[in-house]
Amino acid sequence: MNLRHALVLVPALVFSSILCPAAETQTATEDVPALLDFREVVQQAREEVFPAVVYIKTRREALEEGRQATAESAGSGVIISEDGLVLSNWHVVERAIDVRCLLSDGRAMRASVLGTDRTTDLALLRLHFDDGDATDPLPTAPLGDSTGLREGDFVMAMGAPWGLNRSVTLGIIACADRYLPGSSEYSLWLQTDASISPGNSGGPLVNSEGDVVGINTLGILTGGDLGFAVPTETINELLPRLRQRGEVQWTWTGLQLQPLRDFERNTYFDADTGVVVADTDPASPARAAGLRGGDRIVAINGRAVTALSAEALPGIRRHLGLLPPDVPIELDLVRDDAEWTILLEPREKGAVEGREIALRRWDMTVKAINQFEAPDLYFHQPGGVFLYGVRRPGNAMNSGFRPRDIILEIDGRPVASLDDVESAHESALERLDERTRARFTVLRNGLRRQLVLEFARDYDR
Amino acid sequence: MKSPAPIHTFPVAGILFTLSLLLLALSAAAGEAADNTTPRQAEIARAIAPSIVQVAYTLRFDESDPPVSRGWNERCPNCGSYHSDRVESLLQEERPAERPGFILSPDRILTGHLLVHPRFIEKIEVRHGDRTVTARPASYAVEQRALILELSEPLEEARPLEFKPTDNGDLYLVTAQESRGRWVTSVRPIPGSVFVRADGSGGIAAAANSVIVDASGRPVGATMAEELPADDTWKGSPEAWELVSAADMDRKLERLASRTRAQLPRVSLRFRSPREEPSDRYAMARAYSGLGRDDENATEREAVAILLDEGIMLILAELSPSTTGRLERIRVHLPNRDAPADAQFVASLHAYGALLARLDEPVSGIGLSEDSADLAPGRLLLASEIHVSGDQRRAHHETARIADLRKGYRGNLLPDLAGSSENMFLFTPDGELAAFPLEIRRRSVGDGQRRRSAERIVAPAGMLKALLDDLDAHIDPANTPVDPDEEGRLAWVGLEIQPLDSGLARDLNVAAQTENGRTGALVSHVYPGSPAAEAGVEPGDVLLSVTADGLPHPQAVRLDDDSRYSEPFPWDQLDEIPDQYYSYLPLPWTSAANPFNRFLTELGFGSEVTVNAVRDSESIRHTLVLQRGPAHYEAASQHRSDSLGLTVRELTFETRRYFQKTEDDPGLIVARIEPGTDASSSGLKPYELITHINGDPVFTAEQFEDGASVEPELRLSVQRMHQGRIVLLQNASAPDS
Repeated sequence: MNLRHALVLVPALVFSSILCPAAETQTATEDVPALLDFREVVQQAREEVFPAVVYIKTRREALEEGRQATAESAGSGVIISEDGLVLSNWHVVERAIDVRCLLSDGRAMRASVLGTDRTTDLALLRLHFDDGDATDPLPTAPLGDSTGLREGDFVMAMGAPWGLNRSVTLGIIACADRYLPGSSEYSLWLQTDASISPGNSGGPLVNSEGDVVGINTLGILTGGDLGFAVPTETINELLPRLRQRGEVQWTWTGLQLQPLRDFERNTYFDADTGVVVADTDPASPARAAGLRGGDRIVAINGRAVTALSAEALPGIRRHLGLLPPDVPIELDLVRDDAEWTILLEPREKGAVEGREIALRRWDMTVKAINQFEAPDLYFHQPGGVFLYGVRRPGNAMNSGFRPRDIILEIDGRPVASLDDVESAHESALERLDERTRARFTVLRNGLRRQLVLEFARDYDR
Repeated sequence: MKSPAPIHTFPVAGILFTLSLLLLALSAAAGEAADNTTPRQAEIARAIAPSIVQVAYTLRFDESDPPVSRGWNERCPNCGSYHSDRVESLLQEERPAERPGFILSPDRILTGHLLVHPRFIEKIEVRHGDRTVTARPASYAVEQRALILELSEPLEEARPLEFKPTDNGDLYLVTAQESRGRWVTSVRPIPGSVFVRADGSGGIAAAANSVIVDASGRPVGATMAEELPADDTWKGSPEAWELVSAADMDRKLERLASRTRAQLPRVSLRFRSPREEPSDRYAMARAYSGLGRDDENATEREAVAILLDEGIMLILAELSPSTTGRLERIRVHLPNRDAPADAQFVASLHAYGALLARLDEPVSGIGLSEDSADLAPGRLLLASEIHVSGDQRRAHHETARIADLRKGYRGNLLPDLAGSSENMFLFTPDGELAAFPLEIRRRSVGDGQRRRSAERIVAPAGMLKALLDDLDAHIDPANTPVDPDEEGRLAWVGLEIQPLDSGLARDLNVAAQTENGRTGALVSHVYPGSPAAEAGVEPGDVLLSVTADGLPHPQAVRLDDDSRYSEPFPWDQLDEIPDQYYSYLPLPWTSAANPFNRFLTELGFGSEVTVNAVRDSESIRHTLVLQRGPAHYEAASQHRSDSLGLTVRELTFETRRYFQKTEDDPGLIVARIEPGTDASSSGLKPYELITHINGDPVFTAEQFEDGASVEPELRLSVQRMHQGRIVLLQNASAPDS
């Protein structure tokens, strides 16, 4: 699932929202007084955190439409330290050229992006203090612990939904350990019915104690209880790295994991401990180390690990992903009732997204094929370039190019990287007077095709 | 008065007098000659008129069949163009067809033979003046296109024509026609034109339904054809023509009916059910276009067969190789039997839409006419119109004559019935088969958009004889029934091709040869070791057209560009698709059964084809022998497990290429998942690969079947692109579970 499109409707989620893993209900010993003080509780929490919420507007590069363009994005954030650190979402500030923040007291400050992580949709910003602003201290909100949350606990989502720069919405935790297939690589989600919509992305999710327990991220408007936030359990682990390195620097083993029990798929393994290896990525450390589908890993570096259900997987993956690269990990596993120990050296994961460039006059945007972002394209052409977007109307579109075509050759010269495309594009622009067409070979649906790109027309006139 | 000088006046006056007398005589003669032409014809017309009657045929539907007419068009002697009353307009306007008739005797009328089955004729009436009398056919002329009617009551006022062949020079053609509500007798002199054919025969142009008279109006002869022979053989009374009585004709038709019931029987062809094809783009395009007359997926066909000697019969059905491949049973419905007789397939014909079979028990066959003169235009013949539909065989027998002979397919002289000739079998009056309906096979590429046009001819018996004499040259060895696991194979040359478009055609400099990219295909991949590789085809070649035996002219290579409108396969959204929509998923790869490969398959395995292509702007030719290809996805071996709810298929050359699996890699494609079954609940999706069962790699459908029948729990290693997972299926059908 693409985190940037927060309004995507996913039918499976409708079903999965009903099947949240059962949790213990909290005995309501403080029922009556809690209800009487409820409004005070809410107000107090609000007063503690609200001032720290900022409204963020960014100007970012928008290359999806096949041309060099900029777009505006808006979202929210929360100030977590007095020296101006702001937490928000990756998709609010990605590709930002310019970031401005509006504080609750009316101060407008510029900010710069310190670090981001696309997979967990987190971003860390730092506010710029101009000389005039140095006087008043910054309001901050303390980061709390989300592990204590239970279904039914009251939470508030704060932020700037739909650009209206000040709102609080109230709800409960609908599910404290939500697993969303496709979006739960390293983290589970907090699911709430507090209204989360584009705009209050990046803002804090606050519990009745006034602690920030999550960062609002995803809202699906047609489902009433479908708002999701990144839990601080995850954020607290990753924050130091974002702060010091500007990125998490995940490592990669190539292990594909599967839980012991899968009710949805009616698949139950005959074991109570461990996590099942579903498969290994090709050319990965796990495959090179000899791990196979069906192996059951019972300990990582001596520490027992178990995934009884899918909800346990993100934690295991996060643990593995934070281990240092090139340092061997000891995996104890069971294969066909025999116990083995295998050493595995994780690799740096690297970018999870390919670089993209917009090509003028050709009216298309090409992007490097990244193994994690476009695995189906990577399957056909590891390390290559694909067509990310076409301009409408535009020369590429008119010539029959379609998004997700993998570019193999331009005018007979093989294309292995974005640089190859860039140089072909530049030389084409230089010889515009002589020739206004280029022959491409693309891979579409697994078959090679030839296409002629005619770019005699200049759509920028 | 004194008398003038008497010297020169007398001779001058005499000369003058003679001259003037001469002039007078000449002018009188000239005047008389001028009177001889137009008044003469008018006189003839008036004189003949009492001998001309109007014959009116009132037509009707026979049950729900509309009347069918053949050769009703007649050339008008006055204006030279064809006038015709179309049968439909006659019925709609509720008026009869009218033709002229000539009185031979008070109760016998000569008229042109109107070729329509008696079942469509409500009544025949003859009108003369203000008298109207009913009539019925009395005799048919054998050589002339004429019919003699017998009146129910004689016409006393009628003046019969008395024919006397004379040698008196000038002859006139008399005919009558209805014009603006009145009957007009037209007279014109003949010969208007004389013609001679290359073979020496010739004649005088005449008009049908006419009597020839001499200058005094005396009948010399009659003709029902558009020409008279140049000699005098046509002169004389029509009663002297060779005639067959109506009673004799009825007897002949009855005999024909019983004979054809036995020798032109209905045949039922039964075919194996075709394998269900995945919903790929080509299959859907074909379904929407309603391709072809014969449904390629038919499981039953009814046809007419011609029984020949020694139990051999010719079944008149055009079956494509993919249909014949599924042929299971041939049953012949002979009369007076409790059960149909079985026949065995012998061979399909290459050029014609027919196949030969042999009855298990020999029966006598129909006699074939040996004499091509039997099919002379105008000559009296018998015809059977035989329709088979469902379990019914309907036959109607009538008199017939062919209108013309024309050079047709492969130079054969083909009879032209001047009207609907489908399902028409022609016989000599003695009951020998003279002509039969035959379809010419036409093969074309690009069957996605166009109906294949069928060419149907009426083939003379001589063609059948020539066929039987040289059977080996006419049969198609590639068009035969095949075993179930060979079914559906494509003729494979080992090419992957893409269609052109205008931009590509221009860039490759083939815009002229490919109609600006509308036809033609570009080779994008050549499979190593394939016939194409051996013939020297290279990627980048542009294929223009194909020539082969059985193709009258080169066929342009045509691939419909469907990839413009199709979406990439939604690999990343497979989990979200509900199971009842699995059958609507498109194929992830491009099917090998594209129009080009289908067309090659129609040409037949073993055929030698020449592909005309262009490489680097130069024309080249590749000669290939078509082979039965390796199985492609649609024809791959599969195993279907109803208890698990899934069907798996083996990997084939194009799917191996798509999934990047070598020959040594295990894998079976999940071809089908039934909604609501264990396979569906387990999260298996169509087009995923199963690589291992309980730890053992699987390569063949048989291995899957063996594993699935024994193990109580199946542990499947499933791959979706690079993502793998383990799926556990409880096997309800295993012995221990």
